[in-house]
Amino acid sequence: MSKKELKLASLIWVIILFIQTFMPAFRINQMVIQPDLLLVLIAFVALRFGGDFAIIFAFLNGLIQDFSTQESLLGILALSKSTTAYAFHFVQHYKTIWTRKIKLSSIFIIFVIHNIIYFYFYLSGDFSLFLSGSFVIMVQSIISFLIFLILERILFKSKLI
Amino acid sequence: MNFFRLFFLYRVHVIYIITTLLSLLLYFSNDSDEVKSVQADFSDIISVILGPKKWYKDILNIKEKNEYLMESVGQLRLLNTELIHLKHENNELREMLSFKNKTPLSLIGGTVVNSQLSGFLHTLTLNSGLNDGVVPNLPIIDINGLLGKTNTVGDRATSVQLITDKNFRVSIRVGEKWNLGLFIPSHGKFGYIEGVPKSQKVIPGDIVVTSGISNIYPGDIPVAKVISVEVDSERPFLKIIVELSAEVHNSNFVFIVQ
Repeated sequence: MSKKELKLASLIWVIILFIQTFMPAFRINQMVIQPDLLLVLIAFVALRFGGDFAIIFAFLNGLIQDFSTQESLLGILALSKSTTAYAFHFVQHYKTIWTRKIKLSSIFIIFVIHNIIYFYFYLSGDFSLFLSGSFVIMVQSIISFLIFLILERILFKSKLI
Repeated sequence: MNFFRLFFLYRVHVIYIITTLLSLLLYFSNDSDEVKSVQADFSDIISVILGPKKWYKDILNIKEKNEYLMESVGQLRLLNTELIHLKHENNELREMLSFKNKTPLSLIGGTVVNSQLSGFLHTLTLNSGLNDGVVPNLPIIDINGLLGKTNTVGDRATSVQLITDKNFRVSIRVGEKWNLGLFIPSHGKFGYIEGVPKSQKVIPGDIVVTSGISNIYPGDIPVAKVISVEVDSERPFLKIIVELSAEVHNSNFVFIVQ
């Protein structure tokens, strides 16, 4: 990566961090939904640069997000984001073997897993509450997946995966 | 393959494990109720996973405890046997003490440390000797009767010639008129009386006691009990078979008559 590309990537990262921190959440039937742009960014980083860098990147971003959103539950976003990056490592690893459909399905499942981990810890391990929140998990995952699809088409012309 | 090469090969997994551990450390370092609730869930999962290990450990503990209990049972059995023996010994000593208080004789207690009851010579060895005031030719008795006499005496031990010894003789009295006779051992705890005329009345069950005319034995010490009396027409004396009163074969404590 050249210096120019690095500067551009850093700028994009800061902008996304800023948007993620100050972006207002919207409500659907009393459910608070906030698109996770950092998760989409981690997906691109993992698929573009590989697992090792992506895991550290995801962990640091999760930590920043933890500090900026909920200090009482430090570590849950760091955990869910690094787990996501680790899972994306396998998608990137089998890039040439899997078909695009399988890869897209995997990415969607990874988004779901991310939200499951996050909501499990967020809802204090209460399984009944967790089941009722499964709709929120699916909506959050679908929104993140759609953002990922749109950006992948615009930025990489559907050639990243 | 060195450590760094291994790390490089598996760096993704290692980095993921490190970040996961750090995240969990951060999460569980919090003291909030939500975290405690998740901690409880984790504890449940860990307890389920470690269940078989705990079960196996319990089995091993039970096995060890069982072995320990088996050893304890063995030791307690030995102790119990010892206590029964001590109880028996205590009873014996109580009886002897009671006997010593009642009898007009001057007695010294002695413990049997060795016994020789087979062969021609029948002897006992006592742990009392010259230092305790024991001298040769003193009568030895137990609470039932005459046992023998002191033979050779050392400073701390005494050899006793038993009443069952083939060379042992003692002057006795027996029968309705307390006729004189001589006790001679035959075999085991039996012996016979010589010198009682046929004219005298002696019946089975009569007690044979020392005559008192000897320099060694005082009078009226029980020696034996008559078990049969026969009249032989060819002999002038009665044929009297007696059974010894003293516990010759089972003596642990005896008295030396001074």
